[in-house]
Amino acid sequence: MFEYAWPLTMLIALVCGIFTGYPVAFVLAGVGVVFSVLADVPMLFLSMGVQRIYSGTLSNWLLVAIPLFVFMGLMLERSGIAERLMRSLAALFRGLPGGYAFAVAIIGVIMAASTGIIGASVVLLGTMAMPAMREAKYDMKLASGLIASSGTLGILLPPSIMLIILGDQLRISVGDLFMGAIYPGLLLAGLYFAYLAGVAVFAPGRMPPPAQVAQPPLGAMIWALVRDLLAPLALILSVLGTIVAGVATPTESAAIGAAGAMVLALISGALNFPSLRAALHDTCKTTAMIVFVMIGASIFSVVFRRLGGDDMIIDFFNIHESNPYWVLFIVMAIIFALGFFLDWVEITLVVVPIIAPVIAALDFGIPQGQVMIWFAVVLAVNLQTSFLTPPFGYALFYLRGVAPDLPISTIYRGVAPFVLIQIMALLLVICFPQIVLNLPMSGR
Amino acid sequence: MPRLLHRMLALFRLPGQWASWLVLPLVASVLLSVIAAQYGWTTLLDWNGRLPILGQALTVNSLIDLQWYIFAIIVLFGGVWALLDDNHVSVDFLSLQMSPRRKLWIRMLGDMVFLVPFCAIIAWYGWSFAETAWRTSEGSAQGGLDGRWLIKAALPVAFGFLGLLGALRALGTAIQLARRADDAPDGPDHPPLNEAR
Repeated sequence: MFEYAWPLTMLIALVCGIFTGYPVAFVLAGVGVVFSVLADVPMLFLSMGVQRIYSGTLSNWLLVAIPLFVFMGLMLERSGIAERLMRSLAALFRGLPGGYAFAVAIIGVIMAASTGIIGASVVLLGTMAMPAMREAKYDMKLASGLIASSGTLGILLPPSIMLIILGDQLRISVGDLFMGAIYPGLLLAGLYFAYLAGVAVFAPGRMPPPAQVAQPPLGAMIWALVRDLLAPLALILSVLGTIVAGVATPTESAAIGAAGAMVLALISGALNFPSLRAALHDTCKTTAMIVFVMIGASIFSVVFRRLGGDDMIIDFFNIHESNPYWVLFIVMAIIFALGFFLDWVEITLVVVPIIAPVIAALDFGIPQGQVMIWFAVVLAVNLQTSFLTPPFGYALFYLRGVAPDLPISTIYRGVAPFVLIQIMALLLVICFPQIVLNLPMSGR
Repeated sequence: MPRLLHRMLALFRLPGQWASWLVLPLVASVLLSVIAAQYGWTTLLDWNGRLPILGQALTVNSLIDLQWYIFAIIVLFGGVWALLDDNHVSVDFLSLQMSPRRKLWIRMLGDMVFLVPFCAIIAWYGWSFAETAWRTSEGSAQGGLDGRWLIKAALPVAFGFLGLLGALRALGTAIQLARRADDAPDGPDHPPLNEAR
């Protein structure tokens, strides 16, 4: 173990540094710099890090998709399209038991496939559906769990910034990853629907239909729904459709989506100077915040590798003698546990580069080149739970932000069944790699 | 923190705020290259002689270069801005329980131990990269934009700003700590709920 003294202390310093609450990007880079001084790594070695910042990150055309997708999501959020859709769906389903709940789940899927911005989805669903569900005397545990988890679908369903970064980190095609994530995302949404249907049948008291309400004619409601669905569906088709059909790269379809979202905001009359400026400012800072963690991580890993960190990890997992599924299980369990405290940015950029060589060296009986696609999507499903697991799940924070009077214990107990559903989906995706690989491989 | 210092720090927001408008030409430029690819254009505009930065012609590769130049500028100067506004990703479930004074201590030590040395090294090596690019008048290898030194120079400039901001902030925090003022750090003391995450 002594040969690994440097990388081990480096990891410990990283963990301690991160938990002080100082920005992760600079803890990563700073630990790298400090240890290169302590361990007497030639300074010139750090210039390799500069080279990597420049060639691996800043001139990486794939990453250009990040600001474009962020901007698209922020523009769509301001266009009010999701609010209108929510209203017309809720009007149609209002009479049924759990009508609002199904409406929330459907909106969650549509927002996930069009914007993929978790905060925006959870806040929107929370502000719109929470009061209505409360008034209809829904079980607030169910309502909060449903809103948090439906709003979180966006991290898995493409277009997703997390998948872009995973693709970059694991050196696989983001187009393949987007396609690979579609069925698992829909599977997860399907499990949510099944759960809701189960509740509606066996415990209708948790989401009762409202007392008699005056219903507008059915035809008018369906017409309103079709009208409000048109814009988001057109956008989803133009963004995802072009990627799946292979006619556009993620960066290109992101630009198409960004332009489309601006047009939709213009039509809705929401495109004015203050809202545009606010969206641009948020886009700039959000992009910088994600990419700076990448920059910090590349400095850290240059030094970590130099000090023998990779060998330490490989030795630790003892991959040459262990069952590959056992190694996968340990990796997934570690990431699930980390998800209680960290969120996807830290995990994808710090943990994934460290463990990726381990996975690549395992034999799952899946052809080379497909293993990593499968692994990335499995990871994505796992990381999605990090948004929902207390105490540090972002979706829970957003939900508390919009429903401050809701006791935190209600929210925690509410997400529990949904976290179980996530774990179920994770197991299904692990046991049946075809769920992931079917779509990306069908075009070959 | 002294008022003058506080005002000086606020200036570091400006480059990022200006850079954020570049998202619009970025969208336009990617769209233009999608259209160009559809119609099979490779050269969009042609002229005699050589123009600074643009080179001999405006090609699809110039557009692609322009796209990552914009991306790099947004990231670099947005990163400076995000530091000022406390938007950088951080794990704050422990720090939420700390006293304001302890938070200030952590911020000051972090700035001095992690941030400033890192920025100094990147700025130093980044500068020599930019200088090499300037001396060899490096351009795109595939007929894209010329003047690659410009974008390479953005790296040391931005990290210079970032390091300077970190050093000034550490100084301000030290003054604040020495005065035994118990006011909270200037940033928000709740987790920064950046909705775009």
